[in-house]
Amino acid sequence: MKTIDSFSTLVERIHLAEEVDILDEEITVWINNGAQKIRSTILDSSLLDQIGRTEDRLKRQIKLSQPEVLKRLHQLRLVLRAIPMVEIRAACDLPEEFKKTLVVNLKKTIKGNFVIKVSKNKDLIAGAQISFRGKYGDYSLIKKLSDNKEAIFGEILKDVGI
Amino acid sequence: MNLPFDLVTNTTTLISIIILLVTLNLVLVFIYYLEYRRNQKLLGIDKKLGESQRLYKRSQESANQLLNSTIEESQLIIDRAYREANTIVTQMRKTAARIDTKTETEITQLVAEGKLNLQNHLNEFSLVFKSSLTELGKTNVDQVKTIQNQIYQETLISLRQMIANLSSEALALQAEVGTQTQAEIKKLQSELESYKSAQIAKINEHLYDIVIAAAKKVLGEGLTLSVEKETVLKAIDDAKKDGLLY
Repeated sequence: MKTIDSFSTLVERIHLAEEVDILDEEITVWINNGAQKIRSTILDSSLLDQIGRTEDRLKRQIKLSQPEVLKRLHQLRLVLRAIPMVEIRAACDLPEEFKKTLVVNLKKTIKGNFVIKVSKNKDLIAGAQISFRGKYGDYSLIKKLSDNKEAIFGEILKDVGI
Repeated sequence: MNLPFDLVTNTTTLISIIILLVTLNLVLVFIYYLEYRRNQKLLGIDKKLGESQRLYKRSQESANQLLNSTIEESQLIIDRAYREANTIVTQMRKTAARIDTKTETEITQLVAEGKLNLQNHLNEFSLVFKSSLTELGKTNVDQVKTIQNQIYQETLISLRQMIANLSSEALALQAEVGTQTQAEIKKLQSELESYKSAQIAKINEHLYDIVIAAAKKVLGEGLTLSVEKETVLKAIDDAKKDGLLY
């Protein structure tokens, strides 16, 4: 019997946290529908095909009963939620194409599957704050200004009497 | 001739008259004596009255002198107190003016001389900024200079606003000093000193925030999307170096 590995192709195609959210929502709908139908979604059509093929493959190749399909869908949802996430907080809204560039860049060092979640914080001015697997780093320009406060503003503060 | 009856009668009459005259004289003498005695008494009373009057006059003069000297001394005291209060008020006015002028001078000097210092420190800041871009090989010197000047202008605007606020507050305090009593003046003196220290501390505290706010405003609006993207990629590279992305 084929195992959950049949999901790996799907998981490899997912790179953005938004995609995980949308897929998770859809899986909830399938489970509630008893896996009878696949609702049309705003997902990329190739991804939808992949999901469709996954379900059909499960039905044809593995010959699982409906309860088994439901069980697999539950498992798929768990797998999706367990994908490691790289959180990137930038100073501005980053275009979608650039997010793909970030994914390609990150793949050079991060082994295994991951998704990126990109958010915005204007106060950073430039650079980014990055967190992954419980580790956090602030590489923003505002942090650099703050770290170099004494060097940059020391003389001015001295003139005023500090 | 019959002398004797007429003569006797005449002698008797004469003697009676003499006796009467003597008696009258005696009475007159007595009356004079009484008068004399009365006059003597009156003289004595007059004398006493004269002395009393003199005494009274003398005591009056002494009292007047005492009163006058008391008035003079009181006036001296009042004058002295007035002069002292005046001196203190004048000093307070000068101190307030000095504080105002000194604070304004300090800040103006800061702005004037600080132009050079600010420039130096903005150079430092631009170095930090440039270094974050230099590694990407895309340093835009002109953009950095423009940003530098904009930050400087923004900081000056905020500092000038702060000077204006400080000056108007110091002037209000100065006006208040002129109408206070001595005890209140001393209280105001220490309040002015505390005010000065607090204002300078506020400047210290806010100067960094002012420049940071100016930097955020200027840079936030000044950076292009391509520069932002480059800095994000640079941040990822730094994160890799720090072992964050494995």
